[in-house]
Amino acid sequence: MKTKHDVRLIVGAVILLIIIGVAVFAPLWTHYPAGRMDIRQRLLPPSSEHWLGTDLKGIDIWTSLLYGARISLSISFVTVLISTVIGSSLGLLAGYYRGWVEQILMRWIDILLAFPGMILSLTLATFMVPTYFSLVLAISLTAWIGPARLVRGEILSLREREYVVAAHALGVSPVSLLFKHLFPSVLPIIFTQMTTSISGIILIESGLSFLGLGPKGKIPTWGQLLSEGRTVITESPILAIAPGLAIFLVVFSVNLIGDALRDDARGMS
Amino acid sequence: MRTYLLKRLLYFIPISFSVVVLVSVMIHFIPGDPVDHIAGDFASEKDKNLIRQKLGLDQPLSKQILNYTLGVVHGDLGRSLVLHRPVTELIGERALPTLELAFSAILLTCLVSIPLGALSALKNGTLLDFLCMGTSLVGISMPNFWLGPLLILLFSIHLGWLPVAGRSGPGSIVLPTLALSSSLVAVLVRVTRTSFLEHLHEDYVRTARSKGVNEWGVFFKHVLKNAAITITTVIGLQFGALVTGTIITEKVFDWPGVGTLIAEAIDRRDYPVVQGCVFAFSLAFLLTNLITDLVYFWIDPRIRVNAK
Repeated sequence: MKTKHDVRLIVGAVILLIIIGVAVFAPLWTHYPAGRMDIRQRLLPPSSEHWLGTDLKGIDIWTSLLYGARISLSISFVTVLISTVIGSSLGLLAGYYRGWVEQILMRWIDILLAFPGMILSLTLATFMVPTYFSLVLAISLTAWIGPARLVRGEILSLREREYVVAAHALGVSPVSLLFKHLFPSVLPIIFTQMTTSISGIILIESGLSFLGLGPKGKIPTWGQLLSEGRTVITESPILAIAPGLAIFLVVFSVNLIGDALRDDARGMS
Repeated sequence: MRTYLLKRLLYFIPISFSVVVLVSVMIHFIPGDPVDHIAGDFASEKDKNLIRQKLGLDQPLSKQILNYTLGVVHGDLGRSLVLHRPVTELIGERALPTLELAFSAILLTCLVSIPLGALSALKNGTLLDFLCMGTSLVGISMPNFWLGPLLILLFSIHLGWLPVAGRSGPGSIVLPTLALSSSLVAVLVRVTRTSFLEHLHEDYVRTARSKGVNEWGVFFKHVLKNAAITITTVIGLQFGALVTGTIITEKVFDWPGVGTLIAEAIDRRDYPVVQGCVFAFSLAFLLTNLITDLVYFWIDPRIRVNAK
């Protein structure tokens, strides 16, 4: 069993690292500057000049994919980071202090969970001027709930453990108990949760972009490219296929890693 | 039984009320003056005041919330800024196609994933199991706004079997249903498999076998019934993903439902319609959760007994 897990982990990590590497060093893999338009060269099929053809404005699709990866991936990673930090801290506090802190948090979560799926993020994104940070904010609004509930549940069971009770009896201050004893114990779970949530967040980010709520910059995100491709699907199918494949590969590789990590964690417990 | 139902209903009421309050203040998420945003840069002060009055933004926030809540109670969700028609009427017109799509997707999901998940569990560790799990991982990773266009390319443009978009004739629902249910199927196959695997090794299964119950009996009468609880929970939870999936799938296939209504409203910044759709989706979601809880009651005698 162990080796099978490692295969998934390695394959996932290799695909993801390649994509990240391509995005970070984008200028190395194309000789077109990002977002250069040439109206005379609209919707060209793939050729040696334009590996994946050109889009409606005559921008090289391969170049757009490379630079768009920076936006799509960084929005997702920043969102995961923010929502994990906020969610875990809230969960930590609620699980440890219980009482009204926990009550308020849990009731608030109940209300937010009454809105199905990503609809709250969608609404918030609609009601703001679409920028990079409005998208991060809109997705973070609901993305913190997962880590918050997970960490709270974990702390609730940990605080009854002997070592915590003993530390408490020895007069260890709540702050050091929280950060020296409880926090390190939940760290591995937080990491696993982070990895598994990345794929969902990338899907939400590209979904919102697809619906026209992505940042309106010179460089389109993957979701925006795909949305454009949908409108010219008969003339130029590559414009829909290529960005979708990119999103799929990222989500797939993250899911492979997440599955391996989760099975590993399950095996340990 | 009665206390259980009462508890569920008592939970439902404050939550729905919170949803209404949150929806009613949503327009204030717009940074600055929302009216500037709606009216555009060239609107006169008079036009702006008119819009302000129309949306009730000239009144204090508490009054706005109260008005919206009273409106909801009376089935009034305001009027569209662009189409100048009541939002409830717009949603009413689009509700049927969305329900059609949602139900066919749920139906397909159950019909495909429960047998596949069960088969995968029974053949645990074989090539078949591996293929099932591999395919489901692909399904989970496949965004439906990509699968949709791919299906259109293959079945509508290349093979010419099915219409590209719209809702005309029975054939038109096939591709949207496939696109919408793919990720749901993928998730449910995994859940069914895990849930079956857990129950297949329980003591009661061994007892049933030693009593001479045949494999099919063990499977359908014992394991399936126990696994059904987990499966129902997940189907209920999946409804959230179904709603957002509907919005995107309807946009991909120009399906004339509530999903395209909200997508169009987003494009036109028609806020009352966005608010109305969000409310409608959330209410439907809460109702489904309520129904899921009632289904537990029916499936699981333990819940029935404990509730007494």
